[in-house]
Amino acid sequence: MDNPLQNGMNGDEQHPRRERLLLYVDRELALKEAARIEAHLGACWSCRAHVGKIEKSIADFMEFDGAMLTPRISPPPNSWRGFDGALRQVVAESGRRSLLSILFGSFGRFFSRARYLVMPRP
Amino acid sequence: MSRSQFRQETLKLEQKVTGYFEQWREPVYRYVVAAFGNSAEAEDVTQEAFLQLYRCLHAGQSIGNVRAWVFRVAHNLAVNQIKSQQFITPLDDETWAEVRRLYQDTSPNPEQKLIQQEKFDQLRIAVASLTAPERQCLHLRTKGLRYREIAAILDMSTTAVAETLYRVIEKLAKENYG
Repeated sequence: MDNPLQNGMNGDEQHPRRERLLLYVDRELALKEAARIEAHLGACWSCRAHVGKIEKSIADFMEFDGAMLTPRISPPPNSWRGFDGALRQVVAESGRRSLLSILFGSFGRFFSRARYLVMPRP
Repeated sequence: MSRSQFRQETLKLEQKVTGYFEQWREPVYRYVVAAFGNSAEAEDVTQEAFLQLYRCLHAGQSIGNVRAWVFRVAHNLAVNQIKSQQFITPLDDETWAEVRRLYQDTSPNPEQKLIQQEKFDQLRIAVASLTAPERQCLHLRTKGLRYREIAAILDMSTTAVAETLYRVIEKLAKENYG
């Protein structure tokens, strides 16, 4: 499949590939290519009509989303009430682990050196 | 680091994560519900993503784009929940009938009302025909995420995101223009 991010114009007719028009609408193209498509759209009604269709699809979906999808999303059942407590618990656990790692980290380093003094070498 | 410095740093990090949570919890929650289905699990998934953010920042991990990171973690947690079948299928017939009944149409005349209803019915069919990655790309894009951010969240290439979103537009347009 053609790479819509890499390929620009469409063969002999020199129209931008249609998927690149979505990238153009979404401001995802490099400045140079965006300028080239901008100039092409100034001349080509066919491509401009396609851009219009893309824009209409986006506008229709956003209208549909706003009217039908988003309103049916119920608010979080617990209204985020559990978060503060859960975060405090994570903070406490992380703090304890940090202190233990400081403590046992030093102890561990001491132990790993000390065992070479007391253990017989193979 | 002294104990009081440690406490101060911890408090600062806690406030930072709480700030991120207040800023982005709603879009993350709405994404999880829209992309995976309406479920009480979405609240837990969203909260857990921010708790993981605290754990990672506390462990010293550097996170460049926190918004995209939280979306990615919430997405992965939701994928795991689906594996345990705790989410429901979005937009089933029964739900759609209820949503349609509750919709307050503001169209000025009956003809426009009918056109609007037909358009929404067609869009519902189009949205129902989207594959999971298509639905996820679409809903992330509607939350204002750029292609490279969506790519990082869904673990896809930017090119794949561009192709997927174009397929989504084609499906939506097909329903609109026949």
